[in-house]
Amino acid sequence: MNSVLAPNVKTIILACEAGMGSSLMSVNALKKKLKKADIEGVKVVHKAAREIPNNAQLVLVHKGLAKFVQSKVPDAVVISFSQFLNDPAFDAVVQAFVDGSELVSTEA
Amino acid sequence: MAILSTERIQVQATAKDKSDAIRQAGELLVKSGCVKPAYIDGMLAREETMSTYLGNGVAIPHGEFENRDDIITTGISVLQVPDGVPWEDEELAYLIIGIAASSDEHVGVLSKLADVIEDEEMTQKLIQTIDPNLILSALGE
Repeated sequence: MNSVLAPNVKTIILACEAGMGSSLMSVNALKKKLKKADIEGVKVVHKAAREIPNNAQLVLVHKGLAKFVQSKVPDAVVISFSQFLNDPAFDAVVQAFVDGSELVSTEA
Repeated sequence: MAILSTERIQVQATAKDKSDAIRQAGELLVKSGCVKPAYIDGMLAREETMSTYLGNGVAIPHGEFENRDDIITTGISVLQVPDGVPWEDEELAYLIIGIAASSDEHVGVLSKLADVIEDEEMTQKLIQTIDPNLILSALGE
């Protein structure tokens, strides 16, 4: 199972199918939560699932696409969520940055 | 061209179901020259695979990755349905935001939308208003 220490993550990728709507809303939501927790120095970007770069470290994606994404970037930590705006998974990711703890793939 | 403009905002609309609402939101994009008609089929298909309902009565239907070629220019439409239209489970959508994006020019509008959704009172205003300019000033740039 893939894992990464939160402080080592430089970029968080939010992925969705087309990369033009849903993942953008999630980027906004996650950025706000990170700011609230005073976490700085990590970039949050959005991508269409099929355009995720091979060197991705941490990808958050809707559960319907999680398997596809994990197979596309086998080395990345892929965490799935079910709501684009306010999902407990986002809070867990933010908490990992606060604690400096490990983030673990929900897939594979 | 502005991402959002009053020609792409339809207030006081009615829709008989989700597909009807998506077609209307898509039609606003077609009529204003943002997308080819085929894009609407992509919006409908995308909704079949995964709902674009965001919460608080707002949905953001858009096409699939393959439909990028049907996008002429980046634009966003707003279909306001004060009576709501059943979207997923028991949830009704009142603001249907059609998105066609070939680049990231629409990031600002979606960021404002995210703020509006968190503001219950503002969302209610936008759901009820008969003035497209109110929606434009809340979401436009």
